[in-house]
Amino acid sequence: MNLILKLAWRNIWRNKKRSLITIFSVLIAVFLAIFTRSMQLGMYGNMIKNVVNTYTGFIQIHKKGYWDEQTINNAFSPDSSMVKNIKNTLGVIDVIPRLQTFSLMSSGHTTKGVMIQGVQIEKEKLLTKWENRLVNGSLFHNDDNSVVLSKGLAEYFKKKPGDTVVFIGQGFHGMTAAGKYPVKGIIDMKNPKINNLIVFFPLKLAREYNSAGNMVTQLVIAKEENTKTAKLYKELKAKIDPDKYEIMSWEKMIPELKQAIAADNIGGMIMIGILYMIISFGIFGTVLMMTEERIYELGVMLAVGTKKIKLMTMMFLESLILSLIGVFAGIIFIQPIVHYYHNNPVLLTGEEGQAMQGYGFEPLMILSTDWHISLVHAMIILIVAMIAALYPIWKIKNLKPVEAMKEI
Amino acid sequence: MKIILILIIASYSLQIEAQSAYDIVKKSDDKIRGTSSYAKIKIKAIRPSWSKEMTVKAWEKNKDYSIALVVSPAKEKGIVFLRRKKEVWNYMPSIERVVKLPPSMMTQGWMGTDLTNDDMIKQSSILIDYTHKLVGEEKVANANCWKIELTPKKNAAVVWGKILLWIDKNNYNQLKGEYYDEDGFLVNTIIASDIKTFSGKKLPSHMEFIPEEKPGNKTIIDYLEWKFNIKIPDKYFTTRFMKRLR
Repeated sequence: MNLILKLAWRNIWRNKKRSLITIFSVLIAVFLAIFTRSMQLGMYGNMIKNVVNTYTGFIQIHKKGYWDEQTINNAFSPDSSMVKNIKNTLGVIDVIPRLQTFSLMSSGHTTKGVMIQGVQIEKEKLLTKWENRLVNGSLFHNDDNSVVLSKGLAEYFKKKPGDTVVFIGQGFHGMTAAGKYPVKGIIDMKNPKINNLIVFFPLKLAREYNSAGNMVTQLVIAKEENTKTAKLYKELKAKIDPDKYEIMSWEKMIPELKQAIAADNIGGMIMIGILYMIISFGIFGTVLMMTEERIYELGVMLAVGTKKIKLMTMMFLESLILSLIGVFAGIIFIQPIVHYYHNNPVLLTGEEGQAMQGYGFEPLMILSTDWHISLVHAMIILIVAMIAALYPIWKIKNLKPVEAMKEI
Repeated sequence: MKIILILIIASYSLQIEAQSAYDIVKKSDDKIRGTSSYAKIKIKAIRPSWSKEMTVKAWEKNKDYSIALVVSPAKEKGIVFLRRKKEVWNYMPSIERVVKLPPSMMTQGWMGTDLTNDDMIKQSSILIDYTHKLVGEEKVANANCWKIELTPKKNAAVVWGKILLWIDKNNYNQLKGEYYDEDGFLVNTIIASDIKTFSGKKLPSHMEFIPEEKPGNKTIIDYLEWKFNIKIPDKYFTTRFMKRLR
């Protein structure tokens, strides 16, 4: 065995050009595969982050039963010790309170059903860049009596900052909710559905409007970017009283997003699949060429008396070593690129960028630094290379030394 | 001579028994409706997990016009509901607006109670829109009552398929009412009790309004004051006056 290993090693360096070509074809394969997949997953992750943060946040805590019956009567007073406990969890940046309810919004002879969301602006800024979404006017402070309309509603009611709008609805425990407030700003939520539905109130004002004391309908968890949602969800679930509260992750609250990404992901995987097919042909082509080139040499070795099995093992080891070098080199070379584009994502301009913005996503090309990607794809390429290595083995099996040496 | 006397007495007593169902209901209705009235009412909406209490002043004239002012709780003070025939307006001081209630809002609960806006309007039609039939006599809370079945007339614009009323024989008060939908399912039950004297009339001061479909839900109405035949100026029943009602 040792002999064969030595032979294989020497064979590799005997013909540097040939070896480097093989290594290079594997390296390119690994490089491209990881790059493409990192980009896809990076962009998905960013899309999820955008939508989830704008809308529900990654994890929410409600009163038990709220999700099935989202009325103001299912609001609750947050338990301060529970909130403190949650804030102390690793991965939690802050706990953000919201009070959400449906009401009628009215101006002149126009009336429409809207969703009022009572928020604390400074805390919400942990999730989304509110300043970037402001279209007109400015944002309210916690003690203001003014509201911020979403773009679609402002257009529908023909309102601008300074105008007054009226809200009527039913508040907590049957109390009439009625109020007349000035518009402080107009905001673009990017998502057209949300833009025609949502009105932001300072939390304090929303509570007063709904006669809801110090209550909230949702506690949104702002999590660290690198913390995995699933892990944090499990930890937090253990910290809340299951009889009083329910905890949900974004996948339960906006399953449509998960499905949309899954659908797109399939498309992405098909793309990678095609890439692999091309790569495989590349590697196979290289191996084929190498084998054919050495037919004479292999014929001589067989004629001299080398056992076929030993020859096959030698060829296999050569392929293995070359592939491993190629794979490792590929992984190492791709890392700086992945990290660079992860930390300095490229802003997409042009049509692609605009299309993304239309959907409410940041037009960013960003790469994921998840090491699983490198591992998985390196493994796949390795397997492909090993399958390609079966060709020389097969060739040797059927080799007739005399015919092989005739080639010359 | 004696025979004639006996016949007269007999026919007289027969006459009393031969009060038609319509007459009974009319007498009961007229007692409350009269010409004009003022009442101060305490309304309590009860739900499985919460309850809400309000005090309301209400003026009514000629069965067709009424205006109600919410006096408590403080947050809802000053809210006014005006009814003119079949139209309803609502004034809210916090937004300084008078809103006319669209037909779509008629089936919604009034201020969080089990009574709907529609219930507030349709009270006066039990005479005109229904045919009345006496179906028996029963006791409700130790009072002897006539049991009368009301069936809507052919083209009447009402929501009920059938109403059963128990009207007490002594005072002509509606002590119990059962309201059924078109398919014959019981929707609401009203039970009146606690007879007191208001302006010389003996009337129930406590009413419970129980929706069948929502267990644990109930609305309770208590009359704190009730005056009849008082003079109410017509201007009370205008949208302009709503802001000034005290």
